[in-house]
Amino acid sequence: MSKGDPNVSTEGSESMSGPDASSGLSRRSFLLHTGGAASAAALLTVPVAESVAATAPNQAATPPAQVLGPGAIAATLLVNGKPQKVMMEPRDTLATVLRDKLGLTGTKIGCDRGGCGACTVWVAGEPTLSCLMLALDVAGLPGREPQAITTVEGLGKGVAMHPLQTAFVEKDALQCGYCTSGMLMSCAALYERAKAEGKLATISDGDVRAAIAGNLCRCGAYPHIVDATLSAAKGGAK
Amino acid sequence: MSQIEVPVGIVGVEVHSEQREVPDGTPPAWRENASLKQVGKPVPRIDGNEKVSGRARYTSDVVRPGMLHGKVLRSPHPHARIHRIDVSEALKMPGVKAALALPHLLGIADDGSGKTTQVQSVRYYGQPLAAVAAQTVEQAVAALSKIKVDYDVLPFVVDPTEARQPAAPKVFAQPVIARGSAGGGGSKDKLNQVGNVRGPKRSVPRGREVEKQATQVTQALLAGPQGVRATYKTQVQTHSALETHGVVAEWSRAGDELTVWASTQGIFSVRDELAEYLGIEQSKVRVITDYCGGGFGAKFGAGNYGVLAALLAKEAKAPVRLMLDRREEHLAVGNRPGSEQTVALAASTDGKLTAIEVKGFGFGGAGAGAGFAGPALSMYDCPAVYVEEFDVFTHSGPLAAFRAPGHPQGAFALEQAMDELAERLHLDPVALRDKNDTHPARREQRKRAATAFGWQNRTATGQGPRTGKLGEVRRGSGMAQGCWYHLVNVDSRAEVRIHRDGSVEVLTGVQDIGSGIRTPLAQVVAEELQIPIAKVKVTIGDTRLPPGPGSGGSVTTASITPAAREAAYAAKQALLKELQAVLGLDKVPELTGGAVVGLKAGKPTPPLPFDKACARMRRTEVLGSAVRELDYGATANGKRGNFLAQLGGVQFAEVEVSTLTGVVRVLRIVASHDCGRPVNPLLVENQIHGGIIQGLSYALFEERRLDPKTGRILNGNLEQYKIAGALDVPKIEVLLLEELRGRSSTDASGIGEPATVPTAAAIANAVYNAIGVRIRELPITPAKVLAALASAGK
Repeated sequence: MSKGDPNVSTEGSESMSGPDASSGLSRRSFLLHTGGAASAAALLTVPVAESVAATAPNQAATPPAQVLGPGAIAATLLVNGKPQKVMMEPRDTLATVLRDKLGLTGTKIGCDRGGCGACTVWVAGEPTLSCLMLALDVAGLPGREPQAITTVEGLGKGVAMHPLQTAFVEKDALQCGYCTSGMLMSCAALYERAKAEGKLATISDGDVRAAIAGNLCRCGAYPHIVDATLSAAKGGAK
Repeated sequence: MSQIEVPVGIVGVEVHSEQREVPDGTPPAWRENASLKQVGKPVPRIDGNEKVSGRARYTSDVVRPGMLHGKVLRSPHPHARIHRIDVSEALKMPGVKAALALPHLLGIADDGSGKTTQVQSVRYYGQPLAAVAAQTVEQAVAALSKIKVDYDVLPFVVDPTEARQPAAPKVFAQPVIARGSAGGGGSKDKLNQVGNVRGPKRSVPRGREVEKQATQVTQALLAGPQGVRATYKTQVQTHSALETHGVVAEWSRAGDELTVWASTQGIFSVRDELAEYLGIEQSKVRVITDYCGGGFGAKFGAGNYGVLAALLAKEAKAPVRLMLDRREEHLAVGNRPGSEQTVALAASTDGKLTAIEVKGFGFGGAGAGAGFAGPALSMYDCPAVYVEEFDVFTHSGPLAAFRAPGHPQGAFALEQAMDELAERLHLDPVALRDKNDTHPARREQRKRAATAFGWQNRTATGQGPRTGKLGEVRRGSGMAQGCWYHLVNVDSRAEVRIHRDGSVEVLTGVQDIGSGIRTPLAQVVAEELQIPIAKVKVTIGDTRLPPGPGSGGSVTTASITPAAREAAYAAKQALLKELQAVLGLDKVPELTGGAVVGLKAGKPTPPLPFDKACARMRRTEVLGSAVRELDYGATANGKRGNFLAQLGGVQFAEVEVSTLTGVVRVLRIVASHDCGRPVNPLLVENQIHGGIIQGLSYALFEERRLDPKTGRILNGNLEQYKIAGALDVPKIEVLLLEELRGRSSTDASGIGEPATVPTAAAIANAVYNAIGVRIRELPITPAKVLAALASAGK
């Protein structure tokens, strides 16, 4: 078994402390060596315990790393508040894992390269293009907590819709609906951020447009999307 | 037949009554929207919750047990002859369950080469040739590289100017024909074809003679005394719906029945084309579209991907999902063709048009029918109108119908020519149109929109306000108008079931492509039955339902809402007859104020609310069914030149142009439109916004670019193929007319297409007003603006 052999299958967490763990190949150095070209699809290394590096800065240069993949690995995704064990390949994007492995098809893939925003979800509360995010990068692995993912299915609380979902329906802020999930995640992130800062009443037309600058709507529902967000903000500010 | 009285006119201007001859059993006409409870109200779409919760199921979301994933092998050459396609090595790849060659290519002009076992020639880069189905998408992609194709690579041409040269490589050796789709398009048969140039298709307004008009136009152009002549160019635009084309195909266990989930604008067109291609009965093919992630004309029929998925599923004996990716979407499933049009106008000194001549070329790649004649033939009252169109074939992806096929192109040329003529005559552009356009809706629209826009404050060319540190930002205003047609598909039927518990179902095989047809259907049925909209369950998107129209040509609302209303009316009559029998009434009772009232032994019965009345039914339901008949009086609809059948639309734009950077920003648009009786103004407004935004995007950003050296696409994505985003969209004010014409039981017409026709022309005219240099080529990029300013010495 050669070090970093992409054909080596590392199944499950047991083998993560196997011989490859001593390769000393960090993700960054691997990317540097390979020029960063599409390497993540074949190989991914994960530091076992980031806390080691934090507490022992002198030894941080080469933390023990493990090689995962290219086969499927069991990892935990924390989606809409629920931790779920999922088998995923290192090359799997968060978008495909959500849709194909977890059946959360509310998240759409419009271009699969970060050009349209249809796949926008929240990672730790921040709008993120899930087609450009490897699922393993946000998944929980031994020694690493999963990051909280929120999809459109988890935007409301239980059966109650998020104020923006209600406003989108009332103001007809959609046509075909394919961009809608991504639009909602971008607009709702703006809404929640403003709400946390007590600034809902100050959200402007320009703020909403900036928030959805990375979300394309081919049907052209932008004016109603802006209306809906401003209306929800106004309602929430009362 | 019987006579009914219908309201006719523009509400708020003048409405009068007319008589119409209608089939017996036709419901009485509705008055203006103000007198109705559900229709004409801004009702939020009834399937909105599905869409905002992520529950709405699109084709790309469908998962079937044991489902495989299909991928398509596409030609890396724009022109080649194919000897052999060998899939045997692909079949040995991990996870692969089926691999096959495409027998016969769809979506391209038909040169008469018959159906075979594999496609024999390649005519564009990205043309589908074969496909595989595997357990994962990645496995399918890997297996594609193992398919061996023996190509004879041939010289090609993708530049339409070069393609016109006699020595240019020919796209088609034989004369072609091109059928249209339900969305429009297609071309006349038996046109002359020399090299890559097919035509001319010669057109004149309806009822006029071609030769006489051609002669008269020539004479009028010579006589003048006033006239303009210029050449305008438009680019290739791709539909770029966010959900790509694709299907999930699944055969029955016995392998004789096919179910297909399709991202389509026409479920019946998918069914019929698959049945024809596969040689099975239409009754054995079922097509389902719960939700479709956008369709702007290119999602009709089975598509090569649909055929391949069905064939793969059959071979693999497992369901196959085959969704195209974004790049394939730009390559091979249609586009709005480019054009080069020379427009000549002649007019009297006081501004009456005496001739309109348009001659030019359409660039639909390997497809025919890239015309632009509509606006020139339909919009103005002009004694001499003549249009000559040629298709120029190139080795690139074929055109498809695209939102008002030909019309944004035609309007871009004609409406700029009108602007140029107005300037030549020292006439206001609105006044010039008032002199030459008697269409009643557009006349009113010009008036309303001009007032709302503040058109009277428009400054002379190049004299607008200047801002920016150096005064480099110039402001300007322009206007343009468009036309489309009241089109109806009579192949439309709806069923309404009234259940014993008072709930109501509407069933019809239309599909929602985003315009939200479920909601108008619920509104017209609720109106007829005097019940809340929440009581009406709408089921669409399945070929097991009564046939509905394909969603193209802006026909859906105009075609299916009358059938739904009449089905509700028939169901209501059945319910009332049932109540007469059950309650022993003297005659058939009436539904009024939401309750049934009748006479028993000469005395009025107490009002029985709708649901309580339903509870008295002896059977579990009553059924009403109705087909869409021709418009009242059996008027032929949608014929060009027939003003009664023409839809208008007038748009005003204000722009800012930086003479330093060449960047054009649209500041605001005021748009006035008509769509007969607006059934749901909230949804109509959204459609108008969408049409304008697509028009703006067409005007300023979008252009499919091919590499002339390789024939490959250079911007097959959504970053370099630029579509307008929220920051590019101006303030849009919509002024909607309620125009009643007494055509059907709902008197509704379409809006999706007219809304996009005038936008690019209005913006171009505004750019001219701002900088005093005319940009006659789309898209109006900063580079073109700077070049135009430089060549004008400004």
